[in-house]
Amino acid sequence: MEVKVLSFGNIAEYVSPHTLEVFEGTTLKELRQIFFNKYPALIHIPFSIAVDKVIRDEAYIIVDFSEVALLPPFSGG
Amino acid sequence: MERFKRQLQLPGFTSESQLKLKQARVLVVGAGGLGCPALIHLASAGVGFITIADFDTIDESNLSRQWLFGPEDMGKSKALVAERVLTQKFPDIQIEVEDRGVLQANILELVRRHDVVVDCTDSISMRYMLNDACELLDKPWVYAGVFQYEGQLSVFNYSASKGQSGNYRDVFPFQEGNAPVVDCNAAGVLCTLTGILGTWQANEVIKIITGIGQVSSNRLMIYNIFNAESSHLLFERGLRPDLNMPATDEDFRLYNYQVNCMNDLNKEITCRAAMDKMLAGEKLMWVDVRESHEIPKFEGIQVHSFPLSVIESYAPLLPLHVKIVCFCQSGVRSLKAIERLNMVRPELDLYSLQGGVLAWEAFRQNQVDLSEIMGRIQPDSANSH
Repeated sequence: MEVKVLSFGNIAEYVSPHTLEVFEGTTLKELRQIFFNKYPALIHIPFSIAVDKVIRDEAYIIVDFSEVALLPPFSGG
Repeated sequence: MERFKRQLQLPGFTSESQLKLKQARVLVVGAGGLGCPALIHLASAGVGFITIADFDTIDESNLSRQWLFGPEDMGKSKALVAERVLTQKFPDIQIEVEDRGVLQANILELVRRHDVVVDCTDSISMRYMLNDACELLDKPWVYAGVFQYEGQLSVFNYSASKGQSGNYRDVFPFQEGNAPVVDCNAAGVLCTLTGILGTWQANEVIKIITGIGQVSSNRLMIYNIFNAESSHLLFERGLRPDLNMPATDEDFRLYNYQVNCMNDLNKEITCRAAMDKMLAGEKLMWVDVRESHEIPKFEGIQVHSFPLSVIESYAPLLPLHVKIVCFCQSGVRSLKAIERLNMVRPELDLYSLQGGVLAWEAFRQNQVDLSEIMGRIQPDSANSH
């Protein structure tokens, strides 16, 4: 199935908006690992994942055509 | 009341709303890019008591966006100058200053004396501290953070939502002792972004105090000034079952809020710092990036020989979760080595030994009891072939 990937903050420097093919039943924990494999630099960056505009925990299962957004905290002020 | 005539004409905004603002006590932490616009709007709206907490002094690079300050203020305390300017413009409001800034030692006492806290800092660890202090004392706080052209804003622990309001840890979890590595880089910033976000924070404070409008609780707003796009992400309290938050004042004071900065990765390490880490029981992997014929050999510690000329071919062998200290003769090639390794494996925790083998030799000669020290370091798998 397909998910749309968006990113914010310094993660946008590594991950451009794109569509990703994943297995059905993929959890956010597994999705995180997929991103780590694809973009090793993300291992150092803390980020939360929102699915269809709602921040979810790691056990959340994504469905077809979900929009996932990778969200790091912003430190500046 | 003539001063506030225009806001009193707003639907829903009554003289009682104005009185609530006058009686409110607001703590503004940080008088910089976010703090200046937040402070001036809070004072303009008629907030009666404001505490400004900032330890920092004014430098020239602040002046483009921290417009409570002028060239004549350089070198002076931000909190004291902000107090002076606001007192001149708004003589009716009471302003207190904490020019030590907010510290783990004084934050609970400060937060306790206020109704709302505004986070105008530029520090992630400070945000976890503010979050936990506000949770312990049941106070709402208004968060904003910026990165380049993007800003985030939310209200955490909003008391009116009766225990349902999420907090910063619900959005960004934090485990003591396993702190996140964050980008502490002083990335560029445009004055308009901090101006918008700081103003936005004051706006949320006004709604919290007066009870009018919808407060941005359980909702993180993200605004991108580059492409004029905004996003609203929802979250809820209890999203992370194991928040690992301090439960008492005493726990809070002992809690370790240290976060690691990404800038500290892939950097130089001194002989002394490397030795201290080993003595503290930390595992280090030592990599000699010189060619195999080069002398003197590195004495006292087991090393891997991965010459710079072919360093990339060794990259797959390097482990995660271990500090890897590359060294050469004088510390120049090892810097190149970590730069090249970082290109192929950015997830590694790489260091370059400052001064190289020559510095290590000198360091060893100054260590009277080096053999005794080395005997105290436990051998570990990361240092063996």
